[in-house]
Amino acid sequence: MAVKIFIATDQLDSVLEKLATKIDLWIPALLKEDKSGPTGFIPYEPGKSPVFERQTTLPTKKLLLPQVETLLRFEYKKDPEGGSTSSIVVDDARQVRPTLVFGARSCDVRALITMDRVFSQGPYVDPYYVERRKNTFFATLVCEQNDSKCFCSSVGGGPADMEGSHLKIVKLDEGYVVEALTKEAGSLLEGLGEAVDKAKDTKAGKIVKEASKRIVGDLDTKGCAEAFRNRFAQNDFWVQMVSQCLSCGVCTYVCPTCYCFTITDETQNLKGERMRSWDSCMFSQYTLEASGHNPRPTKLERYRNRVGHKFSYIPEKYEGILGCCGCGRCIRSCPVTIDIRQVVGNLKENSNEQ
Amino acid sequence: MKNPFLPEKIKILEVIPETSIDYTYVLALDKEVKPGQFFQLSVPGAGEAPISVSDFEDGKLCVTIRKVGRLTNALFALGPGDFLFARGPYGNGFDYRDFAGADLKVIAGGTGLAPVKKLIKTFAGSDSVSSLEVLLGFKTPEDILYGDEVRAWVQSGVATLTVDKADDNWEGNRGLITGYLKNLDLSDRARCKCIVVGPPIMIKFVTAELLLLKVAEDNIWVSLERKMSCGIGKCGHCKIGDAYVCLEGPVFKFSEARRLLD
Repeated sequence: MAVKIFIATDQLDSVLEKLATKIDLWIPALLKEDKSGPTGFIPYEPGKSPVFERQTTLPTKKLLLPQVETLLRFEYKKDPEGGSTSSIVVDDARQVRPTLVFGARSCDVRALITMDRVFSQGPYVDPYYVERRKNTFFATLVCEQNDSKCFCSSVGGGPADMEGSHLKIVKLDEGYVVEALTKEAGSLLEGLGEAVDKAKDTKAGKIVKEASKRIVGDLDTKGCAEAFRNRFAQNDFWVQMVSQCLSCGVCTYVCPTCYCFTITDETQNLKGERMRSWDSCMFSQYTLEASGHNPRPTKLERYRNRVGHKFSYIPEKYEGILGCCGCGRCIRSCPVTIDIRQVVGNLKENSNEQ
Repeated sequence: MKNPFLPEKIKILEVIPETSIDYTYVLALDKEVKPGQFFQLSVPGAGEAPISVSDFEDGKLCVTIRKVGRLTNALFALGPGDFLFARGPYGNGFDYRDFAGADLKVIAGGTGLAPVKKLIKTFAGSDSVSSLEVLLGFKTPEDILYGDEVRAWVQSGVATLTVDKADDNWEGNRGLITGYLKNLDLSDRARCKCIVVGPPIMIKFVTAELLLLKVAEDNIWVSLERKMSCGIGKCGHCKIGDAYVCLEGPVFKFSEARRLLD
């Protein structure tokens, strides 16, 4: 039988404290003192309360793909073979520790389908990502806090979708029922919390059942890949969709499925590091070549590419699974209220008339 | 786990100036390479960039580099005996088998000659193609790469050379490369295969003209240039539609390339 425990609300902090002795623990928390301010995932510290009441402003992405990370270290040294040469060493600090994210949501975990395809598959695998991925576990909340920007059900997910999660968290009025979904995760729960009595189990079951039935979002994505192709050359359509865009790139930074990065060298005197950091296809320099040629010179091409990538190119290549997890963060964070649901919805509207 | 981001240290054997801003570096790099493939070259501290292989033979590999950015400036400070770093080769490159028995036409503009130089050399003296015609275009006579080899190809009748602009001392052809396409012998359309490499604008007009001359889309190959960071299908920069240029390209059949939405 699956390992299942109950954590009373007033016991949560002590349980998390114990859990943190077994594994590196990350929780959703306020990033500033302001109670209504931005939230994101931070390493657990005793006394820090997790914020389960709303989806985090920032996704879990950085746990697997840090915003900035060192790929290699190098140091210039006089080479015995002569010449003005350097020696270069790999960064062996690539020590990944087992990590548990306590309080992820199904949209965050669903985004990993896209991330895994990029970093773990293909002719080359990314060792930095793959090692983190193997060592990162997700305790996922059955989500009851979807808001008007969420649309996980429209893109193949759902508020109770546990695919890819290791633990399931159901919030009751009096506490949390946590269930292990894998054997390994079960051992994390050993000695924690209390047994789940029948009444609580029934209550949790009911919450899961209701969440499973709930449809979040009403975007119809059927046929969007083909609709995108039909719309591709209709500049009027894209001008209208993107006219207010500031090319700020926030949609890509808060997006759990956006994975683009750039590689740069940073040096100080004779030592340096080769870094990778998040990049954004919304920036004009993203495709700017050394020759000065830019294949996507305006925001029209760039935004069109972003929509196409998630709703046409990825699903056409990978059996219809979209490159969007429906978390709604790009909509919530956009300073000029661009709504990707509206753009995707409009792809199919009267596409032949324009 | 093997780390594909880790470059190898490579010795520079020779540096050959081609023009005032293009230099060929002969590197001690012994790897199985196909023409059209590229390496991620780096100078630690200055960064990495994708650079096409222009030639290779007997454990030596040549790359032709134009001084246009931070990395290439750092490269230009290096000379014989110095080291740089490389990982690769990456990309699909040209498959010689695609051109067996063909009337092959190679149309190269500017630095676009680099990725097809080895291919031209290989086919020029070989009977694996039925015939070879090369059309080369440069901006001015001062921009001509691989001067000695190009002159030899022109003299032997393999290549036609034109420059966009020149002063009165230039006795050769003038005008854009597109103006010379009609001189190509395209009499056997079924056997005719064309390779087009060069700046995007040149590829656009040359392929359009070839289609007008009734060359089939499936018989035209292009090599695409994109900004790249990783070279291994991760970072996203070179992606056109669903294709990573670094993995599935940079060489594409035109029939595939035109399907890619950008």
